[in-house]
Amino acid sequence: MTRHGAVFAALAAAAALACAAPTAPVREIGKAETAVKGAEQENKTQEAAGLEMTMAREKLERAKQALRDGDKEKAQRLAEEAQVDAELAHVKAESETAQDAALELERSIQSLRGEAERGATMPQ
Amino acid sequence: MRFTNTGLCLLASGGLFFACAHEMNPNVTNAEAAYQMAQSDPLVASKGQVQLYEARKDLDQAKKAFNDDEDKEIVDHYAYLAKRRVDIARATAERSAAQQQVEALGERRDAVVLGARTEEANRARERAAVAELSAESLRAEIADLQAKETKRGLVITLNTDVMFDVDRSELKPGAVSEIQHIADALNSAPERLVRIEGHADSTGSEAHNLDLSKRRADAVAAALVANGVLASRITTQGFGDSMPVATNDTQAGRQQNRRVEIIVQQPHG
Repeated sequence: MTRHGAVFAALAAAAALACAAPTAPVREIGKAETAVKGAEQENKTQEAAGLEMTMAREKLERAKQALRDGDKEKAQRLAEEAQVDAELAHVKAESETAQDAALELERSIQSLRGEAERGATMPQ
Repeated sequence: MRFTNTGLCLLASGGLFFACAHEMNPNVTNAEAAYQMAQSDPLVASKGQVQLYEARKDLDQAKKAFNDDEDKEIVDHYAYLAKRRVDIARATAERSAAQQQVEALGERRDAVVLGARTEEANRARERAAVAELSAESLRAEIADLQAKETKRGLVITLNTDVMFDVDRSELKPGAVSEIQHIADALNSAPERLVRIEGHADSTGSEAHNLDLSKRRADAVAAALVANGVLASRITTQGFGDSMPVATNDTQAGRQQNRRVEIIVQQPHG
């Protein structure tokens, strides 16, 4: 391989790498997008973490806008914040779901106990 | 000179003091406080370990950015991430506590359901045993009363010649032991209703026969009640000579027609 050939190959490889791997802000926006979608899939998100969800969506949009405006650093910061907002909303929603399930179980135990007591005292 | 030196020193250290303590970004201070509190909560510290670790790194970044005099926007950004991660650590601990509660309650509910089922099964078994016992003893008791299984139930036919004097409706003293026997048999199946029907032969007027047969049925009913059978189970009726079981032309036939029938009805449902 000639000296020129080697330089050319190195350049090509660098270019390919640049194309294949998204830049940090793009990667963070992708992660934020995933986090928002994940949180939205929980049933209790709106109820348990409406504010966090709104903030996450807003910041995600602002991150995309910042990227379009060429402010990569700002885009990355906003995307990172959107991620933690969405993640918090997600965990809160799961927590709410579990708490509801616990309440439901308590009620059903109460009513089962009531039934058992009525059954035991029922005239035969 | 010495005095001046000290003054300078004081001045210098005073300036240094101000430089170090130029007030820390309040968002960083808040995030740090939240982090410390979460760290001292054993549940949060264990369940939110990863998030708290990340929060710590963000806090350090925030302080570094602050000390490097970076933009407030950047310091705030790291403080925000740190605070959020502390919140996530807390929410994670709450979620895990709730999930554990769900698990424990689920087990408790299963236990309650199982207990209720066992109890219900025991009660049903008891009821069945009692019913079986009473049905069996009724069959045994009634076997020697010459009872007949009919569509209407078990029919015990009493020979009125043995129990009543002619044309009378008071039980003879000798009938008492038989009535007692029947009462015991009836009480071994206390849920069954009892019908008592009086019948006469065709001698005498129809009205008289109807009246006599009814009074004899009532007398048997009263004797049964006196022997512990619940009055509410019993109904009586007189049929006079309207339902003969044999011919009224022979003495033997007429004797068969003079009778009181006790019908133990089949349980309903």
